[in-house]
Amino acid sequence: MKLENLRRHLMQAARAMPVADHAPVGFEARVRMQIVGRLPQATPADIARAWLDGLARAACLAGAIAFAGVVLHALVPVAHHPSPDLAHEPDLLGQALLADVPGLLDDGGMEEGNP
Amino acid sequence: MEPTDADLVRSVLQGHADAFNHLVLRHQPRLFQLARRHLPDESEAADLVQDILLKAWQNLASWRGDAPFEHWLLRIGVRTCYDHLRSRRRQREATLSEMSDDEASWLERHASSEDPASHDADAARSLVAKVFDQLSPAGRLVLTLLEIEDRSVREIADLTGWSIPLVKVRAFRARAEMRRVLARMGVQKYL
Repeated sequence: MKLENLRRHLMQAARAMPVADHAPVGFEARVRMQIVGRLPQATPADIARAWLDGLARAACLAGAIAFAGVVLHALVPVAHHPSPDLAHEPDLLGQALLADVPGLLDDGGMEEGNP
Repeated sequence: MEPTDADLVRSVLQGHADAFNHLVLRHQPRLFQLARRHLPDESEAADLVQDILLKAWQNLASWRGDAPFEHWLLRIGVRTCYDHLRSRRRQREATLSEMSDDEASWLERHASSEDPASHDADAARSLVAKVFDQLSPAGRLVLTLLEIEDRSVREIADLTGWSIPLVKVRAFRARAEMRRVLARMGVQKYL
């Protein structure tokens, strides 16, 4: 009991002691030095939110590109040049086939050593 | 108008590191009080406050704003302090040092007077520090919060992350531990 009384008195004395709350000189600068170059860490929820934001942004971008494609396709007139029906124009077909083979239609004119 | 803690935190998270200085200036007096209560050594207390602020900086995004910022900071402070006391305990062997003359005379006055707190505060301070050095980290923390800072059991549970029954059990054990330490110091001859 006496020990408990002493203990209580000691704690009472400790409670009555004033505690200084001032920081030592230059403390703020010391803390500033410590945090330079370190970034606050993101929480897992923040990381997930950022990831979802990125995903949503990518989906929006893809949608916008697709929409622009559809609009462009609808707006820009496509030139329809009727091609000659080669099946019924044997001469034209022959010329077209021969035109694909370079040098076949011209009549020589090549000199030796000069391709 | 002064920016609120929430404004400053938001500003820091948007990349304005200077806003953290305002938070430091605003809350460091409370943190220094906490640190000096638990660690009488001045440089050790400053190191502890620095650790607390660094942890707060790194985990700033986890402050949800549903509790006051100071409370969140104190919670980090108490837990950092507990970790510090535990590592200090591991590092050095607890040795029971002799009582000084001033401490002995404080005890003598205690035996004769009803109000020893009004006498030599320095002697009481060093005696308390000596006794606290012998306590377990949990015992030291819980007694400081409960009997010196006069906090409720619920508050201590919230600050430390311990359950309410655990706080009560640790307080009970810490009081018994403190009595044992006092007995080992040979204070009975003054009683």
